[in-house]
Amino acid sequence: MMAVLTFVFGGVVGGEHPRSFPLFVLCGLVPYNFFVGAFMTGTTSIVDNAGLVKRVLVPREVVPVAAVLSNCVHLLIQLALLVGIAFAFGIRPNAQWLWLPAIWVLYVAFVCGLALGASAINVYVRDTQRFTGVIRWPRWCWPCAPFCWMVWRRLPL
Amino acid sequence: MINLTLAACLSLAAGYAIFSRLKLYFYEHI
Repeated sequence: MMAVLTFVFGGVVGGEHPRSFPLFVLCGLVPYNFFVGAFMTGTTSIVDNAGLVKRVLVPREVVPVAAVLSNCVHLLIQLALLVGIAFAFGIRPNAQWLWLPAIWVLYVAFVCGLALGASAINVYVRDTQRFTGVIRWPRWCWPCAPFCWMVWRRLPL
Repeated sequence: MINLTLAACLSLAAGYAIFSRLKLYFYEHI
């Protein structure tokens, strides 16, 4: 995906770009992939785990939150890959990187909140999961995706 | 950072409010 986006934005429709443009794209792609995966699994979590919700006495909020947090495993792997690629492009850590843990925690909390609301609505209106599936459509969601804004505004790394 | 904090807090508050209101009738609809 990173290669495709680099080719499209950096080669076909883009102008002059820095050498680290693939890394630039990946910085937006990682949170976007996490958002899509976590929000989708969080939305369907209550319906998918109906047996667990009905039979086991646990706070039901745990189910969508656990679905979101399970996606954090993939996120951590992707972040490790991102850091590795950043080092490969010659980018070294600086003091601003200390903000990253707080930003990621807030981002996960944001997705948890959305998943909580959407999972509860999905129990009553099953089409909610179809509606949230729309976020996979690039045509609709890319204006909301961080990396598109980064590319359009040509923010420096 | 302030925007992200605000977005996270609002999202959690709204999501939890919706969830806690609707979870009372989960058994009938699941």
